[in-house]
Amino acid sequence: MRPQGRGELESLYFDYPRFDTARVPEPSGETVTHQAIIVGAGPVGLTAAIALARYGIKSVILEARNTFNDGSRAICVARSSMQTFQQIGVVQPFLDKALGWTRGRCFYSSREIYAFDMPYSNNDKFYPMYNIQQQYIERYLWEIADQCDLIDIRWGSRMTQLRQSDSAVIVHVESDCGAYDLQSQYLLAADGAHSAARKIMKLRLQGQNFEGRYVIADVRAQIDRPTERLAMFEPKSGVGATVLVHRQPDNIWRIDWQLRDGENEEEAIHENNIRGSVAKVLDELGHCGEWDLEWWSIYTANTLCLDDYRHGRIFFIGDSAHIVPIFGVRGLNNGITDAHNLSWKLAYVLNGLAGETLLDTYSLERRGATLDVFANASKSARFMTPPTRGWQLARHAVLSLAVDNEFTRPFANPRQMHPFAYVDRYAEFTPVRESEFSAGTPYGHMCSNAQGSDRTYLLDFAGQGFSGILFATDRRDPISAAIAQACGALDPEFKLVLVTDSAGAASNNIIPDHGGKIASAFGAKSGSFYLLRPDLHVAGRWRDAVLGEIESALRFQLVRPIS
Amino acid sequence: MTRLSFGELERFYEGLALSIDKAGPENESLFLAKLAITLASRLESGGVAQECLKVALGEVCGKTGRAGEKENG
Ligand SMILES: Cc1cc2nc3c(=O)[nH]c(=O)nc-3n(C[C@H](O)[C@H](O)[C@H](O)COP(=O)(O)OP(=O)(O)OC[C@H]3O[C@@H](n4cnc5c(N)ncnc54)[C@H](O)[C@@H]3O)c2cc1C
Repeated sequence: MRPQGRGELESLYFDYPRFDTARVPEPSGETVTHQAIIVGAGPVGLTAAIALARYGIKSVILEARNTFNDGSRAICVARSSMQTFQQIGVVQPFLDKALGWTRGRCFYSSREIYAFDMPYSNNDKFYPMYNIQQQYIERYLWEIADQCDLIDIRWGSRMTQLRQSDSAVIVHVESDCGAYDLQSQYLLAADGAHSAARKIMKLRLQGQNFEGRYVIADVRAQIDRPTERLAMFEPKSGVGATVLVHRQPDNIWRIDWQLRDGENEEEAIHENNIRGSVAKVLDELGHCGEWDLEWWSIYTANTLCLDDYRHGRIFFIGDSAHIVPIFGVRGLNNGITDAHNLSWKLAYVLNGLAGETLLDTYSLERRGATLDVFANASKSARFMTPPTRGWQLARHAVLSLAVDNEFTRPFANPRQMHPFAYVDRYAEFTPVRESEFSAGTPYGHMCSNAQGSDRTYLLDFAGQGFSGILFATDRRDPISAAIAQACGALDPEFKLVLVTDSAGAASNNIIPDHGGKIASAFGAKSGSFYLLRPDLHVAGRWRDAVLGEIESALRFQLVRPIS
Repeated sequence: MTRLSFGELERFYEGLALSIDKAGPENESLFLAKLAITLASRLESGGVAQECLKVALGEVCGKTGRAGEKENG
């Protein structure tokens, strides 16, 4: 919602473009079967289209609206999402605009009780978290997608019907300019929390609704404070049991609070009451200058997801597949990972490089990530929004103790976003060499970054396809050519990166690790090898590279017969 | 004496919240006092129990005390 007198898209800082509704294609004699239709040009649909295009896959995006999502909505982009943005070549505008941060501070009744720093070292190229408004996220992704010949974005075009056969998906599209049918091999439903695809297919989200209702308000104010996550429990302002404050670019501040029990929702989101609450919070923050109200909204905390994210040729990605409480900041971040996870797999299948059942692993892996959020969500929700007297009193007690005592401070830890590890899938594949390592990123986990002796970052060298990291004393190590050849035969995009103990500057695929810092962080010695998937999850590692096993591991990843 | 891990402390917290609800508003303080005495009776030293009283009382009474100190200093 926006203040009275301002239109739905009249933002204090963001110019919403107005895209023309796509023309209805001329009816042609032959029916074109597209490779992929993506429903929804939200952040998740756009990420998927760009990722697919990186592998040469064409897509048509259908978007009902004629502009970006209104209001700010998601604002926290996690390191793993930045890494994904880098992998698909869109990270730069995010780095230029977003505000990186590492620190969260918790207050109880105005007194600071706990500060936490998220892991961040020289080895990390990206901060653990960045704040940026969702409109910018969509705009930056759109700018790249719009320039790409392989992506056909059709604004003002709503999908109203959907059916599939053994060989294709057929959708019906309606717009102000008319209606038509469209056919494709696969469909990605990135159509958000109220997914039309889900409704048409009569699929239901399963899970839990929590009791709390929250208000989020964005205000513009010149406040001299660093970018940190501020959590105020039982704030003096009395605005809610918990108030969260985040800084965003353009002097915009996100204030997020929970409605009190019995508080009337309609009344609470009345502009005057929003202004009253915001004023109290700003006062508590010590801001006495001017401020302007940008946008506000109300939401509830739910943990809901589909039982399966794949239904034949139709895949659910992002909010259409899962809804999670926003204080864990996983809604958008998990959606971006969904998009990348599915896109590379779909591209490999469409390009004839992987077996079709690879697509089943999408649901297995990404639904696992959602269930992992669920496991923590009820704990966080009960802490953020104590539902009964018992929970309220218990929370009061630990927070009150935390003022002077260390032992209850971890209760205030927000359990934020960490990338999910895909270990289930590996149950089918015995990671025999795993026990040889005493350090480094294990199987299934997203590979951590590292800095070479010339300050370059290891993951900057990863390719679009599978990558191999070989630790070698000698650049002409014969095994490197053999690995490059064997893996290259399976994946033409395969890229081999050598980490050498020499000094000097990095080149195309050689990273100097003089002093051996990367090697020790990876538990590696000369001859050690890591195999990474296109999404940078570790697909296998060997203390001493064994060519046959590396090839088998890659075949397993691509669901191709293991010879 | 080994301390509870945070995970165990958290489980206790959850049980505590649920038990307060079970006791109901009328019996709440009685329940909490009984709980404290039961816990103390299982401690190995009386000194620790006395110390716990201080820790728990600290912030409860400290509210005005500490704020006052700050203003003075
Ligand atoms: C008020 C609000 C506040 C939020 N705050 C946060 C936050 O602070 N942090 C956080 O992490 N997340 C937050 N979220 C969630 C976050 O915005 C979503 O996780 C994110 O937008 C999901 O992206 P998506 O691309 O899956 O879906 P969406 O962004 O919802 O995009 C779906 C798109 O599909 C289009 N569409 C729908 N149906 C059709 C159809 N039939 N045909 C064609 N197009 C269609 C829609 O117009 C829309 O553009 C918030 C959400 C809301 C609503």
